This record gives sequence, structure tokens and C-alpha cells, in this order.
Amino acid sequence: MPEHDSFDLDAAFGRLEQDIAGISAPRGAGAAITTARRRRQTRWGVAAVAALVVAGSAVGLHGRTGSDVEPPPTRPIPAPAVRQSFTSTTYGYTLKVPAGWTAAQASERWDGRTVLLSESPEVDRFTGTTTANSFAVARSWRRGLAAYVTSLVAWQARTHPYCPSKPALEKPVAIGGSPGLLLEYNCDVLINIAVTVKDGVAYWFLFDPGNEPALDGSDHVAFLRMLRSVEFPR
Amino acid sequence: MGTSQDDFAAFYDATWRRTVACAYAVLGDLGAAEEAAQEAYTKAWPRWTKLASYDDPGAWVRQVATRGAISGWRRRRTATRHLSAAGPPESAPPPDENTVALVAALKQLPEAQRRALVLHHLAGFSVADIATSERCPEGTVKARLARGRAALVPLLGGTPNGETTHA
Repeated sequence: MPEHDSFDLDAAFGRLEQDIAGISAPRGAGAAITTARRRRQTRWGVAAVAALVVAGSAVGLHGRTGSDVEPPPTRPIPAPAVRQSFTSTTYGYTLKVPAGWTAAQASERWDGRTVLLSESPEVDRFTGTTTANSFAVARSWRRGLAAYVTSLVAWQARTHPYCPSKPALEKPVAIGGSPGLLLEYNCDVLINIAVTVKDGVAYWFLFDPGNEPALDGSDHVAFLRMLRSVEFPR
Repeated sequence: MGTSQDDFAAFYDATWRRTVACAYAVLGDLGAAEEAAQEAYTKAWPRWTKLASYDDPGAWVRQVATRGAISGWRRRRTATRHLSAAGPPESAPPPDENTVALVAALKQLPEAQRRALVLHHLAGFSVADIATSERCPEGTVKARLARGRAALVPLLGGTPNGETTHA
């Protein structure tokens, strides 16, 4: 605890905690469990829709992708209509920014080690229409996709201790026509990282649904469309 | 209830007040703080098997609750406000004046400093823990704490030598 402050902030915060304890009304663990279970059912539905979009359009499969995967009975997902082109001045790729999203250029090149946030200067940042955000970075990489994914997963485990050490799912995805992998991390929200290696450069695109993920999944679907629109520098 | 749910319920009861206090210190609104705290527990339940093995699973919940509180506060600051229907929780007595003064002072600080102070002094995080969770160097956390304290003390009527001018 603090060792150098003569004003006793610990005591002040302690009084705050006591005060709030006296007037706060806990909603109960049971309510949290019930909400979590209901939300889990909804998220599985959204994830299944996303999986179908990825598999159907990027990998070339149609219809059912597995023996027991049924399209969930969710409401229709609105597709973004007008998209603007974005060319990364730092990393060189071009993509179509979903309608309603905003994009901001990175101001520094990523060194491949620095921990990244959506606010980091090393990332090209894309902000969705709800609380979702996305960012993209790249670094030189002379080995293959599998080796980069292994490296990335190990790096994520070191730098994100509150997330699982490994992604819950890895599935193929096409990024600008190049084979890639989509890693799904069940952090406190479902984080997607799409990775590909092209001409000696590893690119990754992260999707974070934000604190309150859109239950209709529209931003997530927009992210997947954005991946397919990527064009790499020649 | 199964054992796991019983354990989670006991954990909830034991840690709720500090969790909601952390969110309140960041947000300054009790109803919103309770929402943020409840949301943190909702996120904790699906990973309870893993969290239960932590030395202090309450730290995870406090961290998530304060992050949620910051996110909510940030959204309210930048987005269109349409909160009028909700209003304050019914029949909740107001916090006492010292609590109100502390929260009002905290809200005058930059977000990063406020968050560092709350995580350190109330949530019980070490500088290293905050650096990890905030994904920044320890020196940055120390600087935020020092600047936050320096800014907070006069706002609370204190003086650099530790004297206070009100309770």
C-alpha cells in the first residue's frame, strides 16, 4: 500500500467503502448467474452466425459447416451499406471501412513487442457503431503463419493475464484472399484476432466488442466483411 | 444450489461492498456503480472455476468493475444522454458528505490518475499489478499515483504536510 503520502488516502477510501456498504443494495449472486447463462446462450448464437459467415464466404463452404451446427434463430443482422476505403500509411494495406465506422491512422510503427491497446499510437484504429472497436498492426515475419500464430498466442498469454492463455477457437479465415486464422479469446468479452502472413509481413486485426457487445452482432459481421476487403501492398 | 454456486455466492457476498465502492469511486453514481459491479460478477461466473483458483479472485472482479465503470463514464461523456427514465435507485439514502467530497474531487482528475488511485488505494492493487492490468510501465503508474495524489489533496482540503482542514 502507499508508503509516501502524508494525507491518508487509504483512510479516506476506507470511509468511502464503509459508507457505500451501508447504502448499497447487492442484487445477488443468483441474478449474476442467471444473467450470465442467458447471455451465454445469446453469445453462442452470435458466434454461430459469425462462424457461418466466415466459413461460407471466406473458405468457400456453403450451408452447414458441421454435422450439428444449426443456424440460430436470431433476428436479421443489418449489413453495412456504404464503405469507405482506408489505406494504412504505416503498414501499407488497404481495406473498406464499414459504413458508420471511423478510422484513424497509426502514428508509429509497431516493434512487434510493445503491448497494444486500441489507443496505442502503433495501431490503425477502427471504431464501430456501438461500443465495438477494432485495430490492425503488422510486423515483419520471415516464417509461416503457423509459427506466427504460436508466437502471438504466447505473447498474448504473457501480456493479457486476465484472458485465457490460449484461444478458445482457431478457425480458418481469408484475409484479403490470403489464408489466415481467426483466434477467439473468451476474455470478459469475446475478442477476435485475425492473423495472416503475406510477403514476409505478419498482419493482425483485432475485434473487441466493447463493454456492452451488440447482441445482434452487426459490428462483428462488419469486422468480418472488413477482413475480406483487405488488399495487401504489392 | 451446487457447491460451485454456493462458493460463488459466498464470494459475491464477501466482496460485493468493496467492488461497488471501487466502481462508485470511479463513477460517482451509486446506481451506475452497482450496475458495473453486478456486470463484473456476471462476467466472473462463466470463468468461476478458474477464478476460484486465484489468490484473490476479488481483484479480478474489482478490476473488471472499474473498467466497466470507466467505460460507462466515458460513453456517457461522449455519447448522447438518454438516462432520464432510469433515475436514482429508489429509497437509497445519499452517501455522506465526506464520500461525496472524495468522489467529487476524484472526478476532477484525469481518468488515468483517478483509476490508478482507486485501484491502488481501494481495490488493493500493487503498482506492478496496475501496470500489468493497465498494460503500461510501472513508472507510468507511479507517476499517475503521484500526480493524482498531488492534485487530490488540496481538493480535499488537505495540505502537503498532511494536515486537513475538514474531516
